[in-house]
Amino acid sequence: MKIEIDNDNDSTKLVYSAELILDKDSEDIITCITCYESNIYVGTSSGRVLHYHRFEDIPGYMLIANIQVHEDSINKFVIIPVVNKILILCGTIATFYNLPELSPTNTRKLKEINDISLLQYSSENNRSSDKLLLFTSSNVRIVQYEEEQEQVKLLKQINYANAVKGISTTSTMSTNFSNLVLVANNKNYDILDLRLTRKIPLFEYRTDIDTQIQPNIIQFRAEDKGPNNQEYLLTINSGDSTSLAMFINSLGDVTRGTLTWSDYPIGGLAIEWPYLFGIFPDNKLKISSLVSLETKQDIEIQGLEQETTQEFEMQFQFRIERTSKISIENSSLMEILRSRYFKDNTKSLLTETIDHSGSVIILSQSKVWLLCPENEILRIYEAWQYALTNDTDTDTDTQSFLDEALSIVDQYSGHIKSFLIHMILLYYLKDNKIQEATKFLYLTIDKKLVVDAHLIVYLYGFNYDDLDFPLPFGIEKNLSKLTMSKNDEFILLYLKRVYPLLNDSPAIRRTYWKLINSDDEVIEFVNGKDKLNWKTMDNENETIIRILQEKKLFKSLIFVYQYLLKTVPSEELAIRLCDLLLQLKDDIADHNELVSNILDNLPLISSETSYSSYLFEVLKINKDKGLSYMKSNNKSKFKSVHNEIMQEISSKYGDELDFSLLRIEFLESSLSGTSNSLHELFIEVKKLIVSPTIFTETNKNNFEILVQTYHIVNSLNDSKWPKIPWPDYLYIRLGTSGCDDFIGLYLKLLELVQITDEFSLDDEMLHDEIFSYFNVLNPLKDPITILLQHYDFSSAEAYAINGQLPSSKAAYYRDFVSKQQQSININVKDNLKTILNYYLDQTTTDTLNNFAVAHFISNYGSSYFTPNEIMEKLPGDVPLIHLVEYIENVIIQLKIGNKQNILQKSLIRADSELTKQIYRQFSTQETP
Amino acid sequence: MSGRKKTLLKVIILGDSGVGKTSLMQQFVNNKFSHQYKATIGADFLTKEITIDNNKQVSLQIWDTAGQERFQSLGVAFYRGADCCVLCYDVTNEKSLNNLTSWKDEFLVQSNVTNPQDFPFIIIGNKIDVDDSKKIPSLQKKLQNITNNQLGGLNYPVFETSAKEGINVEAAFEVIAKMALQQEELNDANGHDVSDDYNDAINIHLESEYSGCAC
Repeated sequence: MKIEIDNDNDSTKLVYSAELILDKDSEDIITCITCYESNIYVGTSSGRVLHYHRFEDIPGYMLIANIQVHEDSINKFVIIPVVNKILILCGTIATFYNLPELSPTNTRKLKEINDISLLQYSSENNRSSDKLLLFTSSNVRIVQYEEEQEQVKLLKQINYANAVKGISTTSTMSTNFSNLVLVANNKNYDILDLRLTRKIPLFEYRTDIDTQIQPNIIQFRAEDKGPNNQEYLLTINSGDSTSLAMFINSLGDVTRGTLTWSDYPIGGLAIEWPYLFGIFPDNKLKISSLVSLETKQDIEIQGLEQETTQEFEMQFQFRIERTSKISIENSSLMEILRSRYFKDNTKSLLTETIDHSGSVIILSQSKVWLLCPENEILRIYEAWQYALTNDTDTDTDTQSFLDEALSIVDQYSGHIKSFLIHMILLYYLKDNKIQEATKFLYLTIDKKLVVDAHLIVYLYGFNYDDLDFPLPFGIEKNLSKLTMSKNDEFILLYLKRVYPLLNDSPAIRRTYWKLINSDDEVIEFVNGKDKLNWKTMDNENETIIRILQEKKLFKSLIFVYQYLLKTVPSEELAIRLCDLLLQLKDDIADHNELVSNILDNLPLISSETSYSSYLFEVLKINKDKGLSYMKSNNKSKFKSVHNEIMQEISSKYGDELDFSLLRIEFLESSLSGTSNSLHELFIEVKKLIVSPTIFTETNKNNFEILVQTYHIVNSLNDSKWPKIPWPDYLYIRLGTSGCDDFIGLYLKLLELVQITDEFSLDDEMLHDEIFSYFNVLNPLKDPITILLQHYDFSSAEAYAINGQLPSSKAAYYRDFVSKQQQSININVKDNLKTILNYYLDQTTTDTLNNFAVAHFISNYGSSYFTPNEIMEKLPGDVPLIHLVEYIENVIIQLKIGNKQNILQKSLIRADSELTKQIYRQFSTQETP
Repeated sequence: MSGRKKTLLKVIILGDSGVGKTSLMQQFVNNKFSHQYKATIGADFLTKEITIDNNKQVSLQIWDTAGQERFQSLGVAFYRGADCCVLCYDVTNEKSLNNLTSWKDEFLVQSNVTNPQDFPFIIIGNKIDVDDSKKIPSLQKKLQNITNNQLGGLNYPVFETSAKEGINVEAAFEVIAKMALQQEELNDANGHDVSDDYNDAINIHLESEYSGCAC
């Protein structure tokens, strides 16, 4: 049952709910009730006391004792806390029992008692009293319970007839303090001054003494008149259908206007400031304001079980009264506050017990309800739920929810505060009032966000299987009403701010990554807030990498891979990075960096396939760097791979000059001097030089031009000597030949044939005219003849004398030249004769220009030939001019020869003479 | 009653049912008038702060009591501590005029004022806004007769007002306030209520005291 009361001061309503706290099963009727600490004592019409207790670990009260104290109905309990006693009035007999267990005492029973009340010392001093007021038919007694003797001592007795009800009060009067008693006899209310033993009559409470009207004397604190201001409500039946409530203070002065009803409150009255609750005939509950004196509610009690007594066969009259505060678990509030995991509901997080309490109880025959003021959190919660489904801009109710929630949020702590903040925040977010939501969005307690970031991301459409978080049930069950507009920008800003507060939440991190849309943000995030998460390569990082792939944030992806490779280097990552880099090579401006990135990570790759693939690609992009890498790593386990790469280059890209040359370069760089390596290089060069890319018509023509040019340059008609060797000529023409690649390979091949002695008669290649010079190395042919045929006269002369070709300027493989086997059995004179004959043959037509012959006889004539031999060889028409130098040399030689002979003869003579003299001397010495 | 603040002046409005006591109070305090008659049950009061004599601020607690006879037994509670009593009649209702004397007597009996001869009363004839034809014939004479003969010949101030039109209401209550203040000051000067808050107490015969349990 809910009771709504309009507030006097504003348009708000105060709501009470009737919570069942006790439900006894016996047939007797509840007659009275009282509370002491965690105990409730219920008196019944059959003289039983039911003792209920609330244990800490259970939500409600449990019956723990059922004590038959008397045969008569129990009329009243009076707790005497100062001595831990309870006085139970049954009929007209009052008995003392010990609290809390209701064990009997040795104190004698009090008899002929109509009513009992604790004596109040002072209105300003709430000190508990051990003195009692006993109201009897003839007097009012003041007694004191003496604990040690367990007896009651009469302190004072004042004659007062027919007292049926009374309460003690005090008043500080003009000069002294006095104990006063508000008492009702069978007709009147009076004030008794206990100190001065006098009666101050007030007024009648019933006009007809025959009516069964019971007086009501209700003490209450008038909170509108300052602290500790006690007032008393006295009910009056003023006539046929009217009753009144008068309000007086302890002096008997009327303090406020009268309340009027059409019936008398036969079910009793209870005050919960500022409202008076009264139960009237036909179970009407009337609620009046003590401030405005207006009747706020006039309702029939509904929802509470109607009972009929078998004994009287009449509808049972509910009663209402006030007790000391009773607390019960606020199950409604706890239900909405109890957090549990959003998805895994079995993981429930228990909150502490939250009670609600009240002091006004409604009693029926067998049940007791507690009127609990509606918890304001529950009220706000209901308003919040309403606001979620209504237009917040036009509905004043929704605005009032917000105002109220905001006004109280700081008054609470713990789960309730958190719950309020959830409601406020979600209300704002629902209306996209981000600015207003900010304060609550980032609110932390003990460095922990009050509103779980998981909830925020969930609301904005980020949901994952593992997204689970604790959430108050009251919030959870309303989430379906919250349909947020997608706002990635807001969520990203939010996560940026709260990320440091979140402990390693995969879902949040994933969301963050999903929202990042620029490479700069990625780099900033990885270097900053997300740094610690990139220490390992786990499933979560895999997920994030997939996100980056989906977003095509390749630069970010490269950065992430590089970052991971620094911290957790692995082959897999290296492969991924290399794959990505190569995939993006067309989009990456700085290829040097790309190549460096790949090469830096190649050492991590053990797969030969991957390794060769990446290296191969690097070579295609930047062969210098690639080769440099291969060179510097050629002793690694991948040496064979490097070779394979070259072979592959050769096979796959044989028609690509660059790669063919690259292959050559690589082989050159890896030459070890062994025959294998040289042979391999030789084969490769040979293969390339006749390949379609090199052995082109253009190259051939240009080469032929070079040959012709060489013939001119080296013409014997030219007097200049020495003549340039063919390889050197080719070498100096590199860059201007128009067939540089061909020449380069030609020279290398020549040199390799020379070094490796690889000239093969079966090699068809060498049969081509263009390679005819190579026959100089043909063991079956005379090199001198070949050289002369190719106008390489200086080389022919050198070979004639030395038995080997001269060193070329174009020596690519100089380091291996020493290994060349030198010819040893040569006939220089014959060789030179061959040359001379050739020269002479070439000059038969023009002897005047026979500079070759002149050169020859000048250089070799006198050294290797006799003048007669020379003269015999020379034709008769050789101009003398060409012989001058030779003849001078011959003459000089002859002179030298003659002088030598003379000198030798002189020396021989001198030697003979010296020998003779020595002989003579020795002969003389022997004959003294 | 020295227990109350000195500036709080308690004024009781008495008179027959329907003379306009509630309307006078509402007009004075809230400047409101309701055409709908609703009999007062029990009593109610309104408070208004006003300034009188040389900027003296007082709080007038004006008690509107039920005119019906059946509630008169409650009077003792309401009248206690009054500083001024307003006797109200209806200028169209001669009976209400004639009953002024009994209202005065009732008040003096139940309130137990210490100086009944000097206690300030004021007479208000309400509803002067109605047609003259409806007014009590020879009202002034009858009023004078009552004040001279039945009210002891005392010269109580008389105001004719209209709660409906707001005529003379302010003026009447200003005089009421002044009179109540004088009464309050007079009580203070005479030392009333110094030793006792109850001047209507009845002494009770005290039984001999017991030293033990007498139950």
